[in-house]
Order: sequence, then C-alpha cells, then structure tokens
Amino acid sequence: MIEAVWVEKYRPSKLDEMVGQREVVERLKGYVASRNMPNLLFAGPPGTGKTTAALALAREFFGKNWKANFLELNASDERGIDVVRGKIKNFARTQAIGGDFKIIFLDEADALTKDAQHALRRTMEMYTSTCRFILSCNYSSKIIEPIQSRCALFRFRPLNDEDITQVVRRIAMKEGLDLTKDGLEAILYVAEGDLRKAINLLQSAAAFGKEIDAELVYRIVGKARPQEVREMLSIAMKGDFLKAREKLRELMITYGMSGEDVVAQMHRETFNLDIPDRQKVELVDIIGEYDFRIKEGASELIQLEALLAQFVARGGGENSV
Amino acid sequence: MKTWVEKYRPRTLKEVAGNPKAIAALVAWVKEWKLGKPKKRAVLLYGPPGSGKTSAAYALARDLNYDYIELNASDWRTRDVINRIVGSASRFGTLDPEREKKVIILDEVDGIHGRAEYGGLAALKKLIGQSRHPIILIANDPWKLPADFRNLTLMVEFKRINQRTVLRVLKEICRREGIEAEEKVLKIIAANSNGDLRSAINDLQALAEGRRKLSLADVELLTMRDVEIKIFDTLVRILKTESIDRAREAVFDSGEEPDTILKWLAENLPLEYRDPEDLARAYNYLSRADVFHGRILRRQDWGLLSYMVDLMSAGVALAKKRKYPGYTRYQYPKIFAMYAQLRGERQSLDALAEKLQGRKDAHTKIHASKRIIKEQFIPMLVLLMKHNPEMAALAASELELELKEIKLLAGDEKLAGEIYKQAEEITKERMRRLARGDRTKQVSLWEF
Repeated sequence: MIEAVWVEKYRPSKLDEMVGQREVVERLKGYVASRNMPNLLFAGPPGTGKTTAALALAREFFGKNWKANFLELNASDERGIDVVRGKIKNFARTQAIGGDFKIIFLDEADALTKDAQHALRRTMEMYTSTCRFILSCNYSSKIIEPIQSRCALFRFRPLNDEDITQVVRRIAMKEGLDLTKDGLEAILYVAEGDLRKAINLLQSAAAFGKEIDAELVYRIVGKARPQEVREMLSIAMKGDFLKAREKLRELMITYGMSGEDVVAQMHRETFNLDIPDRQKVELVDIIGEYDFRIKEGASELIQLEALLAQFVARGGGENSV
Repeated sequence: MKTWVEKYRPRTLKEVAGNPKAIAALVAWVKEWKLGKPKKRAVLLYGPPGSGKTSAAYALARDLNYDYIELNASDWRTRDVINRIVGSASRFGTLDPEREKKVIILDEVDGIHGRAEYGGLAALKKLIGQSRHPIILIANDPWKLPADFRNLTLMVEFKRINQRTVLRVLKEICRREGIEAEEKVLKIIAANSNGDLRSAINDLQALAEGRRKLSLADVELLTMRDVEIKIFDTLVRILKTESIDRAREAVFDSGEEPDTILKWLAENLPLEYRDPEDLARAYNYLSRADVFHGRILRRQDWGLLSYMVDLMSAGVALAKKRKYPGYTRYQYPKIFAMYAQLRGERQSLDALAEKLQGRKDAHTKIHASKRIIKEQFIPMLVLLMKHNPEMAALAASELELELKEIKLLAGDEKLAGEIYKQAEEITKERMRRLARGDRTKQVSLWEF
C-alpha cells in the first residue's frame, strides 16, 4: 500500500466504507453474501468509486488471496484488444485460489472501439466458467448492446458535496492539516463531484504547508496558466502571427501543455476577448474544426499554428494588409 | 531587398553563362528579324530551371535596345488577355517610333492549359502568325505543348549549366559582393545546384549574405545544409509561384518526404505570406494536408498521399492573392527540435506513469489509468518534490523511483539527489520493519 499517495492510502478496503453510492454498495454486498456474481458494468463519471468498488468487492470475495484472483486492466492503456486478450488468457488459465472464479476488472472499457468490444464479448464468453468481468465506463451508451445485455448495470452518481466534505475533512484531520472553510469550498468547487480530484488537490496543497485555504487551492489549479493563453490570443488578434507562434511554442515546451489543453483553453478564452459576440461564435466554430483536425491529423503543432493564423486573419490588427 | 539572382542577371547575351549554342542560335534569329521577316516569328526557349532561358530573353531585348512586354505565370493567359495585351503590342506598337521595336516575352508557356486558359494557345498561334515583333516563348517542358504549336516556333534548347560555369559565376558574385570565399565552399554549392544556376545563386545568398568571409569552417554548416539547400529550392518553387503545376512539380522533383516539406512550409509560410488573409488560407491548406497525413499514417492508406501533396503545394501556392517579390531567408523548422523534445518528454512521462501503476510487477501501486496519472498524480508529485521533500522521499521510496525519474519530477539535479538519498534511507528502514514482521495496514478513515 502506498502511503505517500493519499488516494491510495485512504482508499476504502471495505464496501461499507465507501461514501455515496449506497444503492450500488447494497447490491454488491448481496453478491458477496451469495458467494456469486454475474458480469458487472460500472457506469459513471470519474472519481465516483468504480475502481474502489471493484477492489473492495474482490477483497470481500477473496480475503487475503484477493490479489491472486484479481486482474486490473485499463482499456485506454493497453494497446489494442490483442494485448487485453493475451493478458486475460494468461490470467484465466489457472484456477482461482480459495474461490470459484477470478475477477477481471477492465477500466475505461468505453475506450475500446466497437470491433474491439465485439472481440471482448467473445473473450468474455470463452471464460464464463472461470472468470467474472467488471467493466467500467463513463457512459454505458458507449458499450455495445451484446456486452450490456450480458452484464448487470450499476450506475455511479457524482458524489455530492457532503460526501466529499466528509472524506476530505477526515483526511485533513489524520494528516494534521488546517483546512479552512473557504479552502474546503474551493476544493469542492474545483472537484465537481470527483473525489479522486478532491483528494489529489488536498495533497497537492499540503505540499506547501499545513494551512490550506482557498487562495492556495486556486493557485495550484491555476497552474495551467490561463493568462498565458489569453496573452497568446491577444497577440494573434493584434495581427502579430510570428510572436503569437513563439508564445504557442513556449506554452507547449516550457509549460508542457498538450495540444488538447491549448485548444480547450483557447476555446474558454475566446469568450474573454474584446471582440463582437458574433465573431466569438465564428471563432468557436473554427476552434472546434481545428480540434477535430488535431484528432484526425498527424501534427498537432501544425494544426495549432494553422488555428492561430485563422485568429490573426480575423483580428484585423495593425499589421494586416 | 534585391535578390542576387536579379542583381546579377546578365545584361547582354555575351554575359549569359553557359549554353553557347543556344545563344548563337538566338543571335542568328535576331539577325533574320533585322533583315526582314524570319522563317519563324517566335522562338521557344526550353530547358530545366535555372539554365538561363529568362536571362537570355531579357539580354536579347537589351542587346537590340528593344523594349519588351512580358507576361508570366501570374497573369491570366486566357485568349482575352493575350489578345488585349500582346495583340495590341504586336499590331499597333507605340506612337514613339524608337519604342516601336518590341520583344514579346511569354514565360511558362507550358503552363497554358485547362479550361480557365481556354483558347489561350489558339490566340497565341494567331498572334505568332501576325506579329511584327519577335516573340520569345519560355517553357520547361515543350513536349507538353501540341506539335502544331511547337512547329510554329524555332525551338532552342537550354541545357543544365555545367559545374565549372556555375562555379565561375559564384566566384564573380563573391568578388563583386566583397566576400572572401574559399573555393571548396563554392564548389559544394555548385555541385549541389545540379546545373541550376538560379538555385546556386540563391543558395550562395542564403549562406553568404551579410558575411565578409565564407570559409571551410562553414563547411560543416554547409554539408549539414545539403538537404536544406535542396529544400530551400522546393520552398521557393512553392511559395513564389502561382502556377498549380509548378507548385506540384516542386514536391515531385524534391527528393524529400512530403512530411518534411510540409514542416518546412509551416515554419516559413509566415516569413513569406505577409498578408494575414493569405497566411490564414495557406495555413488552412497545410492543416488539411496534415489531416490527410494523419489518415495515411493511421490507415496506411497511401492512396491519400496525392491529396496531401496537392493541398500542401498547389493549395499553399494559390492561397496568395499576389506574389511576394524579393528574397526570403528561410529558416530551419524549430518544430523538429520541439518534436524531439516533446517526444522525449512524453515518452519519459508515459514510462513513469506506467511505473506508477506498477502493473508490471503484478502489484498495482496507483489504481488509475495512465492518462489520469499524468493529469493528476504526476503534477502532485512534482509539487511534493519541489515543496515537501520529506513527503516526496516517502513517495519515491514507496513507488521505487529511480534517480532519473526523481529528476524528471523535481526538475533539478541537486534536489533530486537529496530526495533520492533520503528515499534510500526510508526503504532500508521499511525493509528492517518488514524483517521484524511489522507490516503497515491499510488506513481506515473510519477508525480513530
């Protein structure tokens, strides 16, 4: 167990210790009591307890042997369904220790393409006698029907502020932190029902000292530097493409922003530009198009530069001819 | 700024470098005009780029003290335009009898085709039949023109200029620019030009302008730029032309990968296209070309390559509303270095994220996807390293981080070293505790 990472240190090991998701927890406890379970599909936003529920369920089923009977995979990490299938095959080959079946937890199953999901369905079928699958996803609609129909669906709801407050307060107490009221509110505001984000934020803030207030929390979140992106846009709108491009390169190299980060921030900052609203809408349309092209294209740098050029052309700055 | 190509363009036919046979043929043809109507009213100068065709045409006009009218690729060569401009010049001349002597120069004649220029050739044929003035037609590839058209002209071939001649011209330019250049350097440029004097002069300007000396010390730079010199030429041909064919040919003729040319274009586009609207249009085409490139890479569908090439060459060339004259000092794409850096950094971060998951040793450390680890956990660890070395050392110990991984997070060698040493102590202590059978238990938030 990793003590230095609070998300892991304070991850509940029992279903009963989970906050929120009462309904989910009760149904899962039913499976433990009956010593059997079907394949499960966990659907819900990030940081709502899907992984924790899968881990806790495995612990309650298998006791101290749980690690030998539990395989955790992440569909967005493992390259291609073949890797997933290979690992599953390897794992499923041997008998469960101290239980009737093993559990395979496939996180972010909605990252798999439709074809890969069909392949996964066949794999699930192949090992029904020895394994149970828990698939997790953000949206159940992205999981193909044949898989959905073979799984019991569990919906995880965003955690409410009381739930997150409970956990964050307790961690702060255990770690000897002085979490101010506005500090807590800032964490709740930023976390938006994502408990993992809330805990990571608390620990990031704690790196600076024992007292955690709103200013510190916002300072940490502000690391993404919206003002730099804003500056780049205003240079572009004034018509100086070369300088704007320098800024873009600086953002990506010095601040390590990804193309997606930059586009997302450009989108947000467009509304703060000092231009007519009609033009803002036009620019948002263009940003959306380039966001799409980044995903379709080969070089995000070229796409971002091209996007900047569109801003320069529409800015009508003093350099324009 | 004047390009050296313009600055040192020969003034007389005698000064034109290379191709003595072609020059002699031209001189003879002009004599025919002077004696009355020649057999052929038009001459067709053809040959590869930079072999002296355009220079010869202008030198000829100058030698005769003739005025000239020129049309090049940037003009629309439809029947109407040819009739209006060239027609009036050939039939009526000017009122000034001295100025009545005119040479008509038509560049890039092999580019006349297609619906937009429909009738252009027919009008030209008619013109050749009626003209009272010498007509000089210039083409790279005369075989693109119909035979009946070629037969109306006296065809004069220009060949690639040999290296010795190129070298002589380069030396002369250096002398007049007051640049002390070592012969070896000039030889490399000459060899690189492959008989294209224009590109050799452009290359010389790119390397020598603003210098007093060009020495072997620069040779390293030069040989490194072997590829660049070639690509400079490709860039010139795409960015300076308004001809769809010329732009596309520039990519086909270049030995470079389209992907490389694309990145060079992206880097240098804003140096050339100074009108923001031209720039935006051109960048849009580069962006579209990159989308096709992405599709090619992802689907291995090389059939899409032609779209990528057309958009990045012809698309970019035709995105400008007018030509940008003058010499542009193209620069090496920073994007290459950035990619190397970004790739290196991303690979290290990916590897680190995978390590933090710890799945390789069948013992999961952090239960999250690599994406979430990179988004949330690594930034947190970075803050720990920088502001709370004690907690950072514990993390480094538990996550079994190596020195280079700590360095990646801490961003500072000395700090990383200290954290690493402390982490080793913590690890030893934990081992001692484990040996005593003292295990840490999962912390429950609900027990006090």
